[in-house]
Amino acid sequence: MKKILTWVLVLVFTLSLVACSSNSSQTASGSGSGEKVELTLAYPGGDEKKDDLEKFLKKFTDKYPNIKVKLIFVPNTSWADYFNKLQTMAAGGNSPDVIRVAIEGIQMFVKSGMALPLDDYMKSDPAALENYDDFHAKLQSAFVIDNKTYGFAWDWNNVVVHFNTDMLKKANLPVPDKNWTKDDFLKYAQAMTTEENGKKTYGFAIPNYYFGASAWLLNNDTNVLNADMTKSTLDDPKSIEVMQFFQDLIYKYKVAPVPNPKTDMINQLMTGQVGMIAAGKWPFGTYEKNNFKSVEVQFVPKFTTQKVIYGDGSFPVLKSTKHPKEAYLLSAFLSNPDSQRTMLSADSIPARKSVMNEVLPKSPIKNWSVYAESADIAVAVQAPAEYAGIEAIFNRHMSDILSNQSDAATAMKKAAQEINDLLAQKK
Amino acid sequence: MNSKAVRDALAGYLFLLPALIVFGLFIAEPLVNSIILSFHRYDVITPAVFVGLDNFIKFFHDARLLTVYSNTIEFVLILVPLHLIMGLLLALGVTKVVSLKWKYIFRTAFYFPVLVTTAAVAVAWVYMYDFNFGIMNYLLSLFGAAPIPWLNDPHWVYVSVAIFSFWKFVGNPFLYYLVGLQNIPKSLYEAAEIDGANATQSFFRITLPMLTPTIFFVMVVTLIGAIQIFDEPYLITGGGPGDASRTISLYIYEQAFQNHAMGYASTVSLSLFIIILAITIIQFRFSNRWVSYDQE
Amino acid sequence: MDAHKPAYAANSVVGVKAGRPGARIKVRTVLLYVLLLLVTAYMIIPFLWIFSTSLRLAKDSFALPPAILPTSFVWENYLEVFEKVPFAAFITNSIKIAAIVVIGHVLISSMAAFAFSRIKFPGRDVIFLIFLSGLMIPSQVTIIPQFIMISKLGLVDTHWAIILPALINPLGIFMIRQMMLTIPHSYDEAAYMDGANRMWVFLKVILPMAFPAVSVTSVLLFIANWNDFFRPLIFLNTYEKMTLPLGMTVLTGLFGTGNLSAVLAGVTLSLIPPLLFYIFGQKYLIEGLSVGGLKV
Repeated sequence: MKKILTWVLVLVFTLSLVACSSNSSQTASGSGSGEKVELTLAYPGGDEKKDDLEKFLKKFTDKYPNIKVKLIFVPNTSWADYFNKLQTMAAGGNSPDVIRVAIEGIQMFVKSGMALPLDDYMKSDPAALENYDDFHAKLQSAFVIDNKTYGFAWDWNNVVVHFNTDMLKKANLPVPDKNWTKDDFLKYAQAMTTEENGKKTYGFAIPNYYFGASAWLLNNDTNVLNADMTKSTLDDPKSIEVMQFFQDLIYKYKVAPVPNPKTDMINQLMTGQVGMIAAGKWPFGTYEKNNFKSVEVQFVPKFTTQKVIYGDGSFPVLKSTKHPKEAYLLSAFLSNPDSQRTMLSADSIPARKSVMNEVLPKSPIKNWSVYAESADIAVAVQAPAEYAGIEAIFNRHMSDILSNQSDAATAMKKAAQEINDLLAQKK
Repeated sequence: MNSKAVRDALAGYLFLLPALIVFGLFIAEPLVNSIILSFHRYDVITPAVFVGLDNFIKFFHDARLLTVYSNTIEFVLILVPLHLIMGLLLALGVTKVVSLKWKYIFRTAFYFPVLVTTAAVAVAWVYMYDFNFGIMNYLLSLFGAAPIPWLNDPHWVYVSVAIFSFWKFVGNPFLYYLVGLQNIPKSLYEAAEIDGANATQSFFRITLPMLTPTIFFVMVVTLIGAIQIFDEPYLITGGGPGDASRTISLYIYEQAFQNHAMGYASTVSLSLFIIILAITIIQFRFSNRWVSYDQE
Repeated sequence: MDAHKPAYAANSVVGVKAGRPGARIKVRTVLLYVLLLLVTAYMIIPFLWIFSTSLRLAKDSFALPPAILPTSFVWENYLEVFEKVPFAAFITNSIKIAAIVVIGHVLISSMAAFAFSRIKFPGRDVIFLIFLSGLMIPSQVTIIPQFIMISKLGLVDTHWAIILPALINPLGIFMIRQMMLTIPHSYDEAAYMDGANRMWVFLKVILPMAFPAVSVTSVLLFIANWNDFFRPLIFLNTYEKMTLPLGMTVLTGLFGTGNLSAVLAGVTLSLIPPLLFYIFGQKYLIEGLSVGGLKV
């Protein structure tokens, strides 16, 4: 009898001890300079930057010996999933101090009051941030909301068309020039769709993701939402036209494979299964790793106009941090030229003008200027605070279109309706 | 005597205490909380807001919910009979095998997929189902058949999930049936033989009736499992195309953990609970008519 | 048929090979084996495909014809798995969680079963029914409030978030109680007369005798927890904490930019622990199910 009692008591004590210890594993007390501080930096997993980041963070500790940085990788299946997990961590009292966030999430973090404005710290510690004007104005503007600065643009990406140059050669086609049109594009796709000895190749892999598809909407002078992001314009005939074109590429012209939930278009380009994909700079890390050199890029073809989409990232600080000053120092340090130079070589584009001009010419493609030029004319991907929900709605209906379960008009009208409902919801 | 009764009560509760604590903390309390939550709006970051019947009104106007529930029903109607019958057939087949070596081989082959990590093999199966480059359509092409949109057609997705589910999980009912069959006393069959019964007659007069408790058990468990199905649609179809294979569990997950609408998600999950409760009670009620526990 | 035939022959279709009756029976046997072998092939081929493709170069992984038997031997893919993700951590995390849950279950469930089967105390049957009804509450209902509770306790992204709710196992309690009910009370009485207390009787007399039920519930629980995808998906956020099922989905995310073969290498690796487990554990599973009595 006594044994049971003791055993039960031990169990209860163990449980409470565990609960307590998890809570007290938060950062140490005090935030005055000179005291040992540990910051946590959250980074989306799968970005393959782990080693570079850890090396770079050592430099940070060299500069500020009293600040240690712990890196947390958060695996995810998309930006929305990543932000979701960050919110979960915050809710669980496990908030990181500094997070990597892209434009897809910044509105949400700011509007929900989770992000810390950095202006005061910029004033009190100007030396920490090198040359603010070096940030490309447009890219940086994404992180200045309601006249408050929440982050410093670190990297950015756009969407262009990648070509498998071996397949271009086989089809006797040159890399198109930047003014190529939708009809030129279709001809290219058709020329690269072949079947030989049972081996099929396709001309193009449909960009079945929000960022990629938005880029094409832009070239038909439309977008997912209207200009002030209060209403969806997916039911606009111009949007429907683009989505219907995507569907036709698969089922009418048969130049594109049917995407499945796990389709990996970068792999498809490298293995020659498709001749063109729509992506930014991010595949270049994979190309490098797999020694894939037969690639070239060009702007997305013109429908009625030609624009470029962009998304960029920075390192905002969360309000819940116990060490705002140190967190600001980290955020600033990570956006400095050295950081961008070291870590943004292959698969993203540095947001500082000086570093961009230094790094881009080294890209393994002839048309690297496609990346350099686009910064000035690029349009931000639309990501209001409700981005996660909007992306989910868009993806769901796009999958209906690409699976031939619905024509574009019906699907997009439904999507627009759902997005409008979502935007109208009071939070 | 009185003091014995008291000592007994004390002992009983003490032995029960750990289970009571865990049950209270992780089943009873969450159930109550779930009901309370369904009257609130809560996104985990900001404090919960009481919204009265809003979630219930939304529940009855939710068009996607209708789709999601009918998807779930469709899965149940396909998977339960599939597992129930195929598990039995396989178990009967293996029982009839005399060679112990082959018995072992078949048993291992049929049960092994149950053990492996669903997430891991689902990854592989998605590639197998790829429309253009997957092995399934390749095999079809060898027979001259047209490729099937396994993951892209709202009807074929059910077939895809069924094929995977059969492969992955039929080992479970198979095993239960196997054991159930082993437990049928051989004397019954001998007696039937002496009376001149043939194989079919012994099957319907002896095997099947003796198996009814096992069949009932398998049916209840498979049904509850099929209604709650999450892993297969999440990992293989992602709920798609569109909402075609989105089950109620996927929908609840989406509402709770992606949209952070914990209150509404609780409402939906409670509707699931009521349905499972109702179905299980009905099953138990009807079981008196066909399940025989008598051991003759 | 001959009444003097040994009993086991009554259950089998294989008869004496001589003569016409023998020939007819042989065809049925062949048919049986063919069908069973077909199903076996269906079960095994995906594993072969996974293994063989894992040994291909990345750029060949999708190349047709697909591999059923290995055509190349790029073992580096396996190294890549360990380099890219903390794969060893995934496996040890899974083992750790499942093992702790099982140990907890053995103690908690058997103690509860002991109380239910051997001690008279007020409310015993009511509480037992309540526990059983817990089986019918779908996890989707309890997961949301559990998540909120675990958040508030600061246990998100820890293994305890998964272990603690899994410690209540109504089905396990039920099965162990079933078994304990069949143990004659004479054993208890003898021990009490020798001056033993309740705990001693539980630990040294009843629990060992209930071993088949305990072992089969433990094996089933281990498998269920090993394969659990839903809970880790919700509660675990960072790499190092992840369990194998969750880790596998992360693996595709990573290699989604390049290497199907490496993903399948990861899948192959994830098959090894269950395989080992099956080799060692299946004896307990089968025995326990038969002896432990699957009469619901």
